[in-house]
Amino acid sequence: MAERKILLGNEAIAYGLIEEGCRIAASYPGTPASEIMGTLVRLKDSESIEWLHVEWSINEKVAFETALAGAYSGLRSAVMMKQVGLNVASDPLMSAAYTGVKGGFTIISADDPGPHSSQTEQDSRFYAMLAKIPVLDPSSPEEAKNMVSTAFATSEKYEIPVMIRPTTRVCHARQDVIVKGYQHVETKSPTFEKNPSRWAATPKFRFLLHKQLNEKLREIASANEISIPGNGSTTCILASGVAWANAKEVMDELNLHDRVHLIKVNMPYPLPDSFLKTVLNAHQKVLVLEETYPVIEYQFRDRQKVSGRLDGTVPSQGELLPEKIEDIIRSWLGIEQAKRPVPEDLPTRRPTLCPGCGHRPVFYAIRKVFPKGIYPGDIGCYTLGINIGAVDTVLCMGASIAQAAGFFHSFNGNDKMPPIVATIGDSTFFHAGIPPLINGVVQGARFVLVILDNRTTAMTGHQPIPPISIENMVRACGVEFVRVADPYDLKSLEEILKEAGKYAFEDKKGIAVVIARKPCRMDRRAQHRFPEIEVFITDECNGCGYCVERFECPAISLPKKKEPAVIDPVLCVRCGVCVDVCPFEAIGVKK
Amino acid sequence: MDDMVRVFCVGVGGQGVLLASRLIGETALLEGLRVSMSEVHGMAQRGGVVETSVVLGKRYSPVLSDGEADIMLAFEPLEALRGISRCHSESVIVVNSVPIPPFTVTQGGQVYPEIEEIEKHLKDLVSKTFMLDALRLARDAGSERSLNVVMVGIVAGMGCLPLKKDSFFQTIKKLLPPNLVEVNIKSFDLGYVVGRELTR
Repeated sequence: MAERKILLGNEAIAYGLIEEGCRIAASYPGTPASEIMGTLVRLKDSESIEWLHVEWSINEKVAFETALAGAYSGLRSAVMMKQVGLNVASDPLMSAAYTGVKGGFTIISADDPGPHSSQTEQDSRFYAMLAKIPVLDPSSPEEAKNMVSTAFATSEKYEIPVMIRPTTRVCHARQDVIVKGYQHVETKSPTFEKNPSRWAATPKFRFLLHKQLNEKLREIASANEISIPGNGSTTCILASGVAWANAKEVMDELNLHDRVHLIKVNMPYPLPDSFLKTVLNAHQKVLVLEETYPVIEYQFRDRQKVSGRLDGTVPSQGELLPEKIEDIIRSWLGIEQAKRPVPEDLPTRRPTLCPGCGHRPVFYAIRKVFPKGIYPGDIGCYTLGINIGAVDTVLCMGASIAQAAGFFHSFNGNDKMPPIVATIGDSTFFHAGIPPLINGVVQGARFVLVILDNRTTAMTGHQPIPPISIENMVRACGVEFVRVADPYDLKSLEEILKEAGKYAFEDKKGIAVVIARKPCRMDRRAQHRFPEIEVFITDECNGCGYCVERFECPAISLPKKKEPAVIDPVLCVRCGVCVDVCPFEAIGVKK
Repeated sequence: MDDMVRVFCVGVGGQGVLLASRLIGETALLEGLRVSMSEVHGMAQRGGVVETSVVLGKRYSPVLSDGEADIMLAFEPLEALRGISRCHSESVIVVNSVPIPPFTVTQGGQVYPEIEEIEKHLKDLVSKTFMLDALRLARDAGSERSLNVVMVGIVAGMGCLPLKKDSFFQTIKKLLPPNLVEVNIKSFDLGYVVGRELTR
């Protein structure tokens, strides 16, 4: 039974996958893509959808390859990730474009213009172009859901992977959407036709596959119909995704539809040559609005009349919010600029670790025990260790370990060898931390690695981690110093870090791993009992600010310099760790 | 076009801003309106600024631009100041007066403006600005965590939303776990009564 539901963009995509009979779905969490798989897992369970295999894979490469095998077997399959996750899966992506697929295969790669929650603003549509596969660019949750159907149909017709590229504003928009249900879905049996010249192609056959791929692309491009409004305007705006939606609102508001054609591009790559020529022939001026890189724009071979990111009409970086688009359109058309109030210079607000977070005491202790260290960090909530001064680098998933080894080799033999202390989370360790740890051992690197084990993938909404012993895994990588610490027991944590430092730096024995284990307090599924230690600020407090600066708990603040600190009873979760932080013993425990 | 109602909610991670906007959106759906909303997830939820928008009526863009919000629900005074550019001179602003000072203030350096100054500044720009201690109302209703529902109750009571009180109650029952329904209905009601008095 069809019904209207308010769905998050990511939920809408998940409903689309189920309605279109997706059989194999795999993902690794990452904002803004995480809720797609989260919804699939929930629906599979609540609706007892037996024919759907869902999995949180260990990383995006594994997710991609797992789902691709489903498509090799003739089943509709999907893999989803955030844009930087596609970097991890780029190896199978390039190759899968050549082999093609049997069952419909869609890659959902969510981009993050802004960026709001990512290390880059990279445009997954360029990956589609690089791999030579078609890409769809939805402008709303409803459209994203409908594009799942287009993606599967195109994928099956041309035997090619098809990408859907939503952006944060689509993933995290909510809209009322028609939900059809899945009762109509036919489930067919998997078949795998052996064909080594395709599925296991050697370079000679790869050349032929490349040729076939080019032919597929030409056909897809010529079938990519884009309607051009016909009111005879000589200016036009070509837009895709959310940039189109924002441009539409702005043009409605400014009454521009008589003067300017607004052309909506649903499939930004591959564009047919004929379309690009028609656009140029029919117009004197063309403006391209797209996020975040100039994918449509680059496909114009003649860019004399074309404005966009390349000629500086549109800024080369950043999200295209409605007011920015309005400014761009006004200036491009020579209309007077809108008057905007100048934003006031207000105190900024930065994200911080939650009250009672088990990561906080670890960063505090690292900085205290190894004050002159180099601290390679990693991707997750614990990136916020920056605030406590115990994270110096954040590159990409798993980089902390290889970078710690790299820093060791760079400084080794130098008179002033700083202690190197790396941090990585449990999920990130499984995702990309194991090969660099083996490599570090093999190459004789010496550093302290703290694995911040909160038993979940916290930042993205508490997805599960593999139920495999991290201690055993670390030992299997060849590490001999492995200790487990409770971050709430600050004194003992500091002792263990000192031992680890002695092993790695003074005794020069090798890599020392400390697993700091405390379940995430925000994870409602965690069956863990936390202490209830009620604390208060005693008369000893002289307002030195050490706790605020070094520990940065949201529950402790210093209203004025040199005046006693204050504990907010609503924010405080009674972990009691701050008692051991104050150098003047001015935080007491209520009996 | 202007039968649309555009609501902008702003606050700090952990204040329940997301739930407030969902409460408005789901209630509108229940009453048969078209709805679109926008929100933030991920890093920003860890104590950063949280902004959401709810638009009742058909719309293409998921985000509100400057000067578009008909109603601003600000859960925190400083964030009201930051969000003011989304409002126009006829907007209605409801601000919770209880500040959450950011670390840039508690660690020294930046200065948190005086609450009275914030209120005056907001009122100078938008006359229908109402600042009140909504946290106290939530506490009176039984839980400080229901601040978000109190805030929605206030604007509903002011008659700013074309939605019925009963529909809000139905949505509260749908969105919240059974053990939290009672306190939230009480919170909504308390907000509603205060909202009605504000417009008298």
